Amino acid sequence: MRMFESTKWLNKAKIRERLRSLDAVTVLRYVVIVALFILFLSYRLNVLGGYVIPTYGNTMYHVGIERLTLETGHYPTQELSYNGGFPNFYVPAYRLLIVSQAAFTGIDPMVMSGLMTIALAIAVFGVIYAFSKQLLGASAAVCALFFLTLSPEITIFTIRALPELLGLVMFPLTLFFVMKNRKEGPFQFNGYVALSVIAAAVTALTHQITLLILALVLAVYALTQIKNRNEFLKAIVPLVASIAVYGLWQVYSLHTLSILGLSQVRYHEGTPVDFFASAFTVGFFDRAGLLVVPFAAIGLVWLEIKKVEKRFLLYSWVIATLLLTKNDLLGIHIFMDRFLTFFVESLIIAGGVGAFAVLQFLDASIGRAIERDPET
Amino acid sequence: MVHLVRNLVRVLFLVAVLLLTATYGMANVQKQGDPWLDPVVTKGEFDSTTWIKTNTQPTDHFQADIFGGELIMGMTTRIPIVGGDWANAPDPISNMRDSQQIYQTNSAGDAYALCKQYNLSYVFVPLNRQVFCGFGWISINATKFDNSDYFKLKYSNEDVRIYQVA
Repeated sequence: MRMFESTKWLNKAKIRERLRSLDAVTVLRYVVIVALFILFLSYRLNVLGGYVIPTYGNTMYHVGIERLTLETGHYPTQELSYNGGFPNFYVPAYRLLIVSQAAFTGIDPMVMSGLMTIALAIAVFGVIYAFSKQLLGASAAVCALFFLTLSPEITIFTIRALPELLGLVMFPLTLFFVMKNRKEGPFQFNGYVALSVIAAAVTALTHQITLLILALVLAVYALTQIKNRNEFLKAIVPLVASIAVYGLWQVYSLHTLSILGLSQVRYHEGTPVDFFASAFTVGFFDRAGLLVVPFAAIGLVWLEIKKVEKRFLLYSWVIATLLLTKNDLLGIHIFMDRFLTFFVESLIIAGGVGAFAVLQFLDASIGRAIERDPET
Repeated sequence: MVHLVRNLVRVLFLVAVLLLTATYGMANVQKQGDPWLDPVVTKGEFDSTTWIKTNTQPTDHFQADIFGGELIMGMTTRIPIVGGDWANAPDPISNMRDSQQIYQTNSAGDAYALCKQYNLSYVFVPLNRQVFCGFGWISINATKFDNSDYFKLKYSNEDVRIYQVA
């Protein structure tokens, strides 16, 4: 009560009314969110547990560029990598985020990278909740958080200071704005379109792999909406924005639009993904988690049966990332294991839907049983 | 009454799920995640970056493996022969091969020639771990760096030695 007394700018009556109107399911939902958040966060705190942040995945390379940016006051045009002396074309958004926070707080960029890893991991937690809630509601979103907290793949990519981590936030956030834009009728450049364009542009400047995923997901979604001009444009506008922004960046930094000369393409960087891990492959079930797969299948079927609005956005996400994860079957052989992370992210949301459907079925069955025979 | 029983079933179910999540589920997350939390580089290597930052020039280049090189890059902005983004590096495979050769060869002269070829001013020699230059984890043949005709010891602690290329 004292807390309410001291916050007079809040409408006490409204808050009391809201608290009184909370039903048991809503209270349980909040309890589960808090419990999952504590579990999720507690493991991520390990990032700051050593004398240096986890180093797998070139994390300290990014810290080097951040430190140089802080020391010189500008984003370096030349690389520090591989004996230096060649253009730095790595997109700058993630690094500038760390630089800005380090400059603002005076904290060393290495330590700030660790702190921002935790902050961005929390943002992944938030964006998965927001996307799932927008797709099907709060209960399905809580179920998705359950799979997120238990996901080995998402854990591996949310405990390291990598641009991909910001990508894991910005990519679903862009899709969230596309989904949130429920304006019917002729296409309008409203606030959600503007936000989706900004989020797509930031994604393009965050991580090249994430950009490729975003572009393909939006392209597949646009194709599924080809007969609905409004929905088609909601996908195409951020898609064009992201490609244009990245194209400009690459021309500025490398003086070419071609990516064929890049080492990742030339030397086919990446590990194939198979059902189970081996010496030469990443194991899909090890990384995705066994539990999420059947629930994701149920979720996708359930979305189709219920004809949930905007479900095609999630279908596009699943299809595009699956195609990219198995690009070795198409003879491309690049970054298969990196695309897997985003495929798993889509399965987590679909798994949340599936678990929600199963729980709803069980809850209804138990309810019917209790009502039939209340004495037992 | 019916409401109460139904909510009780819901609460019991969620408590069971959360307990399983916190125990078995998080144990699996830990098993998968812990290897990726490994810093790889040792405490002594990390400590040596203070010396590097203070006693070397910003333009100095280092012989190091990928993890050591990225540590040097991250803490000092000095430039290593390998490590970082290889996307548009002119010939990253040669850098990897020659960096590995500098560590592995028995000949101080050969190591020195390769250092000169890449304009490397210092050699970073981790003592308590294997190194990774791009083709798998290997052990360092460190004794050749004690040949003072080619290399001069400038810094050492229990985990690392740093030699200046003569």
